[in-house]
Amino acid sequence: MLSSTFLSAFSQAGQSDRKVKLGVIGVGSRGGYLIQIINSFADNNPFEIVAVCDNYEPNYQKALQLTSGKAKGFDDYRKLLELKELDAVIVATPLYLHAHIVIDALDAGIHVFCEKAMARTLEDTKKMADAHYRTGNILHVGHQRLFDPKYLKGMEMVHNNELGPITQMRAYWHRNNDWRRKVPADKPELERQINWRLYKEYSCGLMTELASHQIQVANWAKKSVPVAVRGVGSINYWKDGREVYDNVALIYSYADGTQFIYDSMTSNRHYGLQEQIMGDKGTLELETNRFFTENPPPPPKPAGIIQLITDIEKGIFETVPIGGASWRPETAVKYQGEVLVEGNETDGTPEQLKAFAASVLTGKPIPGLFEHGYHASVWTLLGQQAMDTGETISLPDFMEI
Amino acid sequence: MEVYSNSFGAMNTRFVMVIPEMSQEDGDELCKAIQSIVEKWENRLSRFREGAELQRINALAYESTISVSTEMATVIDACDQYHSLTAGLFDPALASIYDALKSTKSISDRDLEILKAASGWKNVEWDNTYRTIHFSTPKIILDMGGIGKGIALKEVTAWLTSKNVKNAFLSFGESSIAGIGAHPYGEGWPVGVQNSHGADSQESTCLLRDEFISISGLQKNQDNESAAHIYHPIKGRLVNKPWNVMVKCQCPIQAEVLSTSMYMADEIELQKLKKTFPSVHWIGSSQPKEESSHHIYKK
Repeated sequence: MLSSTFLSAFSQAGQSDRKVKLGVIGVGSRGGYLIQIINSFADNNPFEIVAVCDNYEPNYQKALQLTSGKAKGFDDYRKLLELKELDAVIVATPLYLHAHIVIDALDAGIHVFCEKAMARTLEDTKKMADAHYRTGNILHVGHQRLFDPKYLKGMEMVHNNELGPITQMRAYWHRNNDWRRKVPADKPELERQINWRLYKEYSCGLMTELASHQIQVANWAKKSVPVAVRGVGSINYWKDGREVYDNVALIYSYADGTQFIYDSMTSNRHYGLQEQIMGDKGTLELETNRFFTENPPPPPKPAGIIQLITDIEKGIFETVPIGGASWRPETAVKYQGEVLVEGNETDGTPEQLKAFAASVLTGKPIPGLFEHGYHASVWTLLGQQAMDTGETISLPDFMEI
Repeated sequence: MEVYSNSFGAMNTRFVMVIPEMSQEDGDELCKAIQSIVEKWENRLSRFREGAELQRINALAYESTISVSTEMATVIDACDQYHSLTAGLFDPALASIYDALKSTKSISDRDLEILKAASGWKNVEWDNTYRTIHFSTPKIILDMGGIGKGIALKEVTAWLTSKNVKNAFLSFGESSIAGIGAHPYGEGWPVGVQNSHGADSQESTCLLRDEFISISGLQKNQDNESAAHIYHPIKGRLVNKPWNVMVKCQCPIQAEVLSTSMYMADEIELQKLKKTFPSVHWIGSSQPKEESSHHIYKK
């Protein structure tokens, strides 16, 4: 699977004068955020947003505002795709709408950045993959951790065997909110459109919206994909008519016996989110940018003790000074681990967008990148299937790429 | 001369060992074993560690009478005896008061008084025949911070002696110190403690030869200001005397218990302690210089 150093180099590539003519399809919370990131590139912006599209009026207005009225506005993505100058599109619509939009764009010769997960169904995910391979156009799936320096550093350590063989991985994502977006009181019929994440027809909830990121990280660490998944999910708190689970717990098993243990919930945020990669020499806690060796360095010796040691080595007999202005009776010592990347404040999204731009300008996909997104999406959906059926699920043959 | 030294974090502080005429290889082996001994005691005596026996006692001993292990029984026995011998100054059942005082939420005077009445060794029912313990109030939390390092140090020094280590200097957070044998160029291990809390900054020194010292006093906070952290169980308040107390004796457990007791004691209480423990050497930096300085014997 994808080399971390290669990715890192690619994200820096391509300081071209030419800009990527970009359309953004779906300007909800994520699409709007991506436009804001792109706007922040200012003078070094590799993009020019020439078109925006959303069929929900408030989002449509937001899109025009975010692009200062310079981008053409559409409420039908097919009209947007007809723009001759278009190099690429970002697809940030609800999950269940990804497939046909992405496939149409690829078939039209337009490169695509599609937010994760790829699609609502395995079949649609496969069709998108087929379209990518058939057209040779770029299909970049939105897993920003692939471009986050702390993840790149962590994976470098893993792949250089600095953690030893990886014996277990864990991840969780805990939130405490109902995940609902406000529906205008006078338009209750918009409930399923606005709160699509809560309905099985449109989303797998916690799996496609959150878990897919972390499954991607686990696969990246192992440089392979699972061979099976089992899991359970339920609605035990938000009993408000939603269809997706409000808590999930799964185990993904890899061929060498490594387990990736995953859970997510939306009724407690104490533990937040984390990915833990564990080997016999150390542990990564990637969200918090930390590495812990299994053999932490000993705490520093106090100055008085250092003097004692030096005195003995030199044959000197002197009082051991163990008090002093800076002395405290107890120095609490707790190993805090080591920071992976100092001053890391990005989540990889800006770097990912720039890498997409660089990729579009060369006309070539980043080798191996699409497969990260594909496998993460597929195993997300298989995890959902495992929970829904109560069975241990493996990859169906038709999903092999 | 070859000197082995190593350190590791334990019991919320650092343990340092210095052994003259010891190779790196032999020293590492000893260090590993010592770390196991300390870890074993921490796993038993920590009130924060998941699965520690003390944590279990704190969780259950109000609801029922709990049987304790043989090792824990020796610790509780020691606590019981020292509580009596120090006339109540040593009291490991005050953790709920400490927690309340440290909390960022302020506690009303009334609630503090209620907590004081419900805390303390007086509310611990210890049966040393059947090795059972029960708390008569739900506010009791045992904390072995005032004795735990001494207990670990006792076993560590006994073990080192059994391994024929003649000379070693061991330090637990520079407040619980063991001098096994002597400095290779002297007749003991010469230790000096600076008192920097008061205006009169003076050093107290002593020589350890198969002896232990424990030091108690004001801590320095992050702003390097002196901060009171020892609670007087009888007077019901934190003690903030601007000096350190160093106690030297043959037993590290006794040293640890008494340094805290002697630090917080008023004159009358101090005289009683000195009478009860006549062989213990007390050095407080408030003492006249002729009582606190010693000849350092060089070879």
